[in-house]
Amino acid sequence: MMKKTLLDTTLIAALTLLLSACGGKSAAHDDTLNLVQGSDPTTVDVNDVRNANEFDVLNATQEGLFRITSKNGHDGLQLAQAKSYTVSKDGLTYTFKLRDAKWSDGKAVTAQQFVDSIIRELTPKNAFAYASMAYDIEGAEAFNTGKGTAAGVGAKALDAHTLQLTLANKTPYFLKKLASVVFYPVRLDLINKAGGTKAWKTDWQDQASNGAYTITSWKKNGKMVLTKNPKFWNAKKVSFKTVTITTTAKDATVLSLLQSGQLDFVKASGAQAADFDKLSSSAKVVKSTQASGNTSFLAFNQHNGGLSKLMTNAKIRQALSLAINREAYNKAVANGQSKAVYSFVPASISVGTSNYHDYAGDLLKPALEKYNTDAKLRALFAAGLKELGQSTDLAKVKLTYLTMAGDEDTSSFLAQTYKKALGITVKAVVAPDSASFIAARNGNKYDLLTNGWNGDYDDPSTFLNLWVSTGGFQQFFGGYDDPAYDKLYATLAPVSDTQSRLAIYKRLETLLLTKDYGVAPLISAQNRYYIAKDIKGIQTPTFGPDLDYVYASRK
Amino acid sequence: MFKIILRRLVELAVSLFLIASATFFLLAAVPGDALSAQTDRLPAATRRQVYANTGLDKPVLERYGLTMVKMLHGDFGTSIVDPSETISRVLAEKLPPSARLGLQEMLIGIPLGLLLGVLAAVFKNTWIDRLITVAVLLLMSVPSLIIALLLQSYFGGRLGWFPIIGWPEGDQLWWGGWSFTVLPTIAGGLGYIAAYARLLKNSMLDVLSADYVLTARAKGLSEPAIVLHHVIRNAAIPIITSLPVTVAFGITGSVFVESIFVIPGVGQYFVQALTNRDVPIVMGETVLLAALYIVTLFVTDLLYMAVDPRIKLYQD
Repeated sequence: MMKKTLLDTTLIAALTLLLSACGGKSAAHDDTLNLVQGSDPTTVDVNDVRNANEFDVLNATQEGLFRITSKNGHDGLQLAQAKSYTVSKDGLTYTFKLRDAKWSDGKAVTAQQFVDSIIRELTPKNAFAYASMAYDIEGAEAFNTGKGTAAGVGAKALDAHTLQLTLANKTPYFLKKLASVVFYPVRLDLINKAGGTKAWKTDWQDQASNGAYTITSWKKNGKMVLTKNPKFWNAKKVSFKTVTITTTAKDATVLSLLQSGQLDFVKASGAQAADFDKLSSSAKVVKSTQASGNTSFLAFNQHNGGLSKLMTNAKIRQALSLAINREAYNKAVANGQSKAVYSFVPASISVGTSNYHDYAGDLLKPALEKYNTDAKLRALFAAGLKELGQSTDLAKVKLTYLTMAGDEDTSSFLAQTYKKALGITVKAVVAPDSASFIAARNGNKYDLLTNGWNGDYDDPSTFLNLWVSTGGFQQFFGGYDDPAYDKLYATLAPVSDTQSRLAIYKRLETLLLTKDYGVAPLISAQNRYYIAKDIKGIQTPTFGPDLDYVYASRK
Repeated sequence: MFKIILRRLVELAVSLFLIASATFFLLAAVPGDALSAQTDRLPAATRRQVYANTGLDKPVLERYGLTMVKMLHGDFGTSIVDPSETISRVLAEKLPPSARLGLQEMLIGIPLGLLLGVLAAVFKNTWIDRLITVAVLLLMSVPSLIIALLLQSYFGGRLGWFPIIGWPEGDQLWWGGWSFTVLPTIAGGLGYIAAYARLLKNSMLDVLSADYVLTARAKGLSEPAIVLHHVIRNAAIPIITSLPVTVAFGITGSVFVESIFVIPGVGQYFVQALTNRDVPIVMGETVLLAALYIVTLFVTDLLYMAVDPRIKLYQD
């Protein structure tokens, strides 16, 4: 306790000195990048990472084998802590050569620290959320689920600078996943000294950085200050000496900051972007738009048919999916700032270097054209009721839409749309917060709910593996369960050539969306970036960190 | 006197026990817990492990027992959401900004409010009174949130006279960095002006119609002399006795002003802790604040006795 207080005081004294040494206000401004975040990170432990702002901060303070870059809305990979790598002919063994890099405390970055990270990520006791990201590695799933040992995991340090990873299956997108923060190296010596994993989560003072910045101050609900790490291997390319990240969830405050030039970058989407667009007249700010790796969708309770007991019927789900005009939904719910979608995998996703959406197309469109009148949709719904042996009087149908406070636009849109198109009644049940929402959802107290999914890496599998019945995720999105889907998904494992994978993914999505109607995709968020005019070199990858400012600079 | 204090201490202990128990069981009764959102989509085995790591997997009564026993030793435990935080560390870091903001608001707001109150009472039914009454009504009905946002976007954003966000830290924590504090102090201080102007005006009007004021007028005292010697002193009783509670509330943070101006204070943090169902932090906060208020009420009682000797705390 004493030691920390002392450290605090010295740190603050050092900072004050530093600030006063900077002298004039404009000099400090040139060297400082000012950012905001909606809430404080809940963790600064790379293995424990969960939320977007945590990815952003850790991407600046730590570094993995690769850095994810972004060009024209498409992600790419750049060597970072890895100097080079080779892949064996069978596609199962990856060997990485590390560059000579140091941590901020002067210690060398070693291959063993990458192995330590993978083992720590998978250790069952640690219960890290993203452990399954490592399942492509041989023995990883077994170790994580308590069926194997750490020694059985295919991650080895051949020497201080050589890391070898052995995969369970050929995984064409393995490197895209490996670039994630989750696989950044860790310092077990420091973690153990600080008292283990639990305290390490937010213990920023005891951490060392192998990235471009170190955290030098963090006041919760205040701001975080990052200072350039002189020991970073590529420090001479890092332009900003200081990065401040202010925590505020108030759009009005963000707007005031942006208007007065005290904020250099902010990302918005949906209705929030419409507010920020009032700024478009400001000469100080450049706007840009980029497709996101996100899909919002309507889920049907297929666990038990929901409160109405109707959701087990595919025809009824079909009528509910096709009755929604996606363009109108986008206007009502997102002020027209998102994009109406007719398939589940967003347009930003690629297989290898081929864009998946260009290949698969808008899968729902043919059905939407076929069922283009209210009469046809009502007949479809009634046919579903008949299959269930129920009265076909649509006026008697009542569905429950489960939602959270603040989602009134969606509730009223669905109620009006379904009343008009199908003649049925939809009642919204509003949970006051996420904990209550989860409790109601797990108790199956709904027919319909809306949700969103952000992909974790650039491959359709990050969207399509959600619907595998044993995958653990479909239960949150209505509990879709089709053995045919599971069987088809399993055929992907040995296939690595792009054309065959594209074909299997398309068959999976067609089955999910247009045969089973297991889920109804609605819109995909478009990210809007507002960047101060004099800032250049900011990267905005679709997957991984939202924002990479490590090599950004002020003109 | 000693007996009174002893009796108050026993009352304090019993109240705190009841408050702590009620807080614990109310939090336990609300659906969801600190980990439900975070572990929502995790595999079942992983979710169980996360709960086991934080002790939230134990039955409610066992957790209640453990919490109360630890609390007896002054240990509220570490935050579930943020395991490196304890309530004492949170307060050490976050109370100073809230306390300074509150004190500045009160130092500006209360004297101004009192001045307006005197003016309104003395010039009763003139345009001065009406102006003050309307202003007070306006200040009381417009939420401080709106005023804060307006001040921020105009004086911070458009004119750029003051920083939009931020709060002094380091060696300026208690003194200095004034420009940061101007807008938040005004935004929060307006409420005190309104409250105290109203309080003093009403109390003065009561006194002004009292018989001894009539007597004073009858014996030919000048109006200023009457107000200074007879009215203000008697009208001050409700002011003096409401001050301790005002101060106790004032220094323990305000949610809106803190969140709009990004002031790292206790108000915002505790509201977040509550929505996060962060039981150890909420328990610590509730018990400590309750203790503060109970002590404050006792001080208020003592003040009553000091300003008005007719009041007795307990029948002897």
